[in-house]
Amino acid sequence: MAVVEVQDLGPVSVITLNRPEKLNAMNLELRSELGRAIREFNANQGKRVAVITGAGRAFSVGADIASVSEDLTEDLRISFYPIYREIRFSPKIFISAVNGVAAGAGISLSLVCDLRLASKNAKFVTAFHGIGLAPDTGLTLMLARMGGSRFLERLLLGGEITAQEMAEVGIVRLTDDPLGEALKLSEEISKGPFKAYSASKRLINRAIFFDIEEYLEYESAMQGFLGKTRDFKEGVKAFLEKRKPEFRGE
Amino acid sequence: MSELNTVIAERIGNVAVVKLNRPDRLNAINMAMVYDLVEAFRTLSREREVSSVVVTGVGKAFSAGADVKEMVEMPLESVVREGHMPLWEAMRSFKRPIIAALNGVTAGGGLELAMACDIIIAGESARLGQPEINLGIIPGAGGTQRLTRTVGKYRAMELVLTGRLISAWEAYRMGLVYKVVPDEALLDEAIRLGREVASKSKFAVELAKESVNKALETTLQQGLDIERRNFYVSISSEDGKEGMRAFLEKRKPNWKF
Repeated sequence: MAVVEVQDLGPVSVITLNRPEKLNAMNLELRSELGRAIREFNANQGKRVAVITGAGRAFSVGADIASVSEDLTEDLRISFYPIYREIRFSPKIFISAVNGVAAGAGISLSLVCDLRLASKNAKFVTAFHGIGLAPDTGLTLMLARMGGSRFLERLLLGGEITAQEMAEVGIVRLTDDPLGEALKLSEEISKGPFKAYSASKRLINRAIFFDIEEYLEYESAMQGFLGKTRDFKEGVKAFLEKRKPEFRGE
Repeated sequence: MSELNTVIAERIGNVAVVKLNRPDRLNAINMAMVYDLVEAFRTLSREREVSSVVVTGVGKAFSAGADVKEMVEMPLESVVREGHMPLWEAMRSFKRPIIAALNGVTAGGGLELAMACDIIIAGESARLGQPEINLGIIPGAGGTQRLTRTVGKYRAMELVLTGRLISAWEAYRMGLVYKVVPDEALLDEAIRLGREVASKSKFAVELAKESVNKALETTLQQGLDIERRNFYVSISSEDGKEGMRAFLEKRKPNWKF
């Protein structure tokens, strides 16, 4: 089984993160397959809407800590950001169907899509601080702009956001069946005035994502130095040893 | 490299790092530092593997400028005859890219030193300006010239006439600094940039640097003429031919020069 499955439904593609036993943690292979799947979708003239979802009980728990990179700056710039850019700056519409937990870079993957559907039991866990890092993959910029001051505390200190809370500020739509709902929505969008939708997406990008490149350069430099701290090494070690980390603030 | 007292020179792969090292004096540039920097650049120009140089400061300043204490004691005649000129000459004739990594206060001669480099990156606590006016003097090594050509007359005038220091982000918006990064990541980012340049043909990088610099010294037509000639040189150079061939054959080029 491939780590990323693509289902072809005419103008619609369903892209499924498929490492259910690892809660769809994004290791290097998954990231490169996901990037390729999205690039192929974007290059296909006949395609209009992509649904991104996760196999099993999670959407994605984010970067795979078991295969953490030495150079987090490089990792973000070379491996993560191109995926998010392909989605955000695509003329096509992306829908995330969040079927369970989304953590770390998994939250960003759901938010960077144009429309977001989440099941009531889905939750969004900003897992970064637990390993001595700050939020990355554009999460702070996206969540602060979409959710206003409501989530700043969790962006600052880490924590969980329920699907209910995300729904209250309009970031996600709650549904019992995210994938089913996403497919219905996809069909409507692909039959609608697609050029108008695509143009509207570009206007949204000019309105709230015009400075994302500058932000990501800064963010990736920041994560690079946190990746060299003692607390990060301890955080990763503790995570892998399944114990509480002992942070020192250094 | 012979004994340097006011400067530390290190090598990280193909990138050289030159650190101004008078932290207790905010890396004020005195004559000893001028000659140490001249020596450092002379040595680096002979080291073929070095493809770019990062200049930064030890401690909390990049450089607060010329050493005022030393300057007031120097006879006018020796300032005129020599002063800091050897440093500016050494940097002007250095063919490979020099990256200034501003780690803190970058004022007066410190900003002039940064502007004598080819690319400026700043840590976000850096503060930049030409405060000479507060001492009843004016900038003497590019503070009214390179600054004006980079940020335009009206912003330069404000900086030079008020002596105000601006933040790294403000300098970024003026186009004086190409990128602002967290202080802790400054050196890594500067070296990363140096390594990126190191992956190109050294010969092409030298031609490109020379051409860009000419833009500030010539009329447009003269600059275009110089650029075109350097372009002819680049396409007939060995690295140029190899690079174009590699592009067509969809493979990585092997640079020789």
